[in-house]
Amino acid sequence: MIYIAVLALGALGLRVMVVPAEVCPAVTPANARGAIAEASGWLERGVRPGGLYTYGYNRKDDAVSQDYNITRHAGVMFGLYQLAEETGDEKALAAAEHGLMFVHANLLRNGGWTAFAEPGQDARLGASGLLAIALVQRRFATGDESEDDLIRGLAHFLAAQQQADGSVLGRWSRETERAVPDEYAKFGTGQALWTFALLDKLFPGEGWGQPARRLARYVATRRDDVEGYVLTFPDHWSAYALAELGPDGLGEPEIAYARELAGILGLNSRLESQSGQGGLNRVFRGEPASGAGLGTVTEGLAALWRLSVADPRLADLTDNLAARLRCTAGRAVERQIDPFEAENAPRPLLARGAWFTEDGYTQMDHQRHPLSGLLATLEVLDAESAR
Amino acid sequence: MSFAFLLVALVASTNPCRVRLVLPERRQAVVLGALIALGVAGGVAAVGGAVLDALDITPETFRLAAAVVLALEGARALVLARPAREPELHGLGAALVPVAFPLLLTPGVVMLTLTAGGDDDVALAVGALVVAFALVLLTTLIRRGARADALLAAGGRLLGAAEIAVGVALAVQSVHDV
Repeated sequence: MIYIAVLALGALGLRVMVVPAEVCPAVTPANARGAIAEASGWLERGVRPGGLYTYGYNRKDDAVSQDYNITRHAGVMFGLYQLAEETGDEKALAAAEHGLMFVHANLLRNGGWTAFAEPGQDARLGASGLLAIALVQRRFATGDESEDDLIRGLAHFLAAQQQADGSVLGRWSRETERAVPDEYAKFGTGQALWTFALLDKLFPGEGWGQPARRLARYVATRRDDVEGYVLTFPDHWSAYALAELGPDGLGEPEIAYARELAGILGLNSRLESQSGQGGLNRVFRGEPASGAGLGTVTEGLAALWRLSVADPRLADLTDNLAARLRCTAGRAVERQIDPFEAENAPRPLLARGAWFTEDGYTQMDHQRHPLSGLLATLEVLDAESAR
Repeated sequence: MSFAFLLVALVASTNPCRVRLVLPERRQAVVLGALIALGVAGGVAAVGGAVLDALDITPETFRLAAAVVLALEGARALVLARPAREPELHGLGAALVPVAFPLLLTPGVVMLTLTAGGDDDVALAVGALVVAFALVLLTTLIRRGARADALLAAGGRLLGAAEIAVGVALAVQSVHDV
């Protein structure tokens, strides 16, 4: 009897602490499109003078953040251009174009390269990488070639930061006029990789394939050790880059890395689906992911799903990637503040379409990442409904 | 999961060496108990996928729970090489208690068969269980004595260590799986 009681208690403990239920609300093309429209609405309503966007808002204090971050600025432009390209949304395009004014006022030119950096600030890899990606997306959305020189200039900055082993340094110092040694950018590396991969297709014959391949090999084989990650770093930007490089651009080390990346993103998705805003799940799983967290996992899973469909070496992952993607996307849709919930906020238009953290805060990337992630999820949902 | 992995995991979790130290001496009861345990474990594996669905747990996540159980069970075998004798039912009832339960249907065996069921590896799990339980039956051929018991205890510790290693491998797999 005691034996059975101990087993029952053990099973209960396992259930509560190790394997709580994975809750995956349904995601449909309709509710995903609705969430995308609400998220883009938040970003579009945030257009401010000087080419800026609303950065953040705390609904508990009813305080609009006075902070700003140029990498996230580029991210907002990227998301809006993506939406414009995918759906032809004119309002999204206009809001994205608005951000160009701030971009052109904050460029640092040095020799043959251009970086996106505020006056007096060092040039950081991520801001320039993400701006280059956003401008490539602009090219896809509009066909306008007027920013091509800027795209090339930004990519030359990324290439100037690249070292002999393929890695890219995260910062260039205005004071020393050199790249800062041994300093890497958490997300900048993946953004640089995707930039090189995009430019290799956009400007064939200009030699962008070589830095892309060198960086891809570094990311696949050495980055986690060199940059100090114990587990594979869940880098959605590298996932985008791998999908862009495609089967022909990926060797076996990159494919092995894609598997590891899929694993860690899948784990993040599963753990997130076990989290809750209260009760024991809150105790054992911590705070549910922010909008940015939900979005980055969705973006990464969607990119790897596209790669798994294109590359037979990863075909065995397709179904699981789609399942995790649906789950995280469903949770993103469910946790977004809808128009009715927003009515209870001090400023409904700063709450509507947003994803808030537990302490009542949201910022531009909490909307931008889910926007991109849900856009990518639509492709998976469409493919599955076509089966 | 591969057959080889399941075999090592189920042998380690069944731990024939350790179990032999407390098995009833009636071989008929042991054989019958092994068959009962095989039937129950096979049934658990067969409904593994449905059970995990009902619990809203993906097989990839459930591996982590199995890993925790195996590691704890392995640690127990490593520390307590000589298990306490279990109460026995009379006659062939001993096949049910203690042979089938709790000696053969250990928490680790149940978790592994559920995991295998969730992965649609029911046949592999049953095959590995047949081998694991056959090893338990083979140990009944060992004549007990001070020297034999010491060797069985050492073997039990070794399998306990192997079970911990299997648990770690399963946890790593859970992290790497999508």
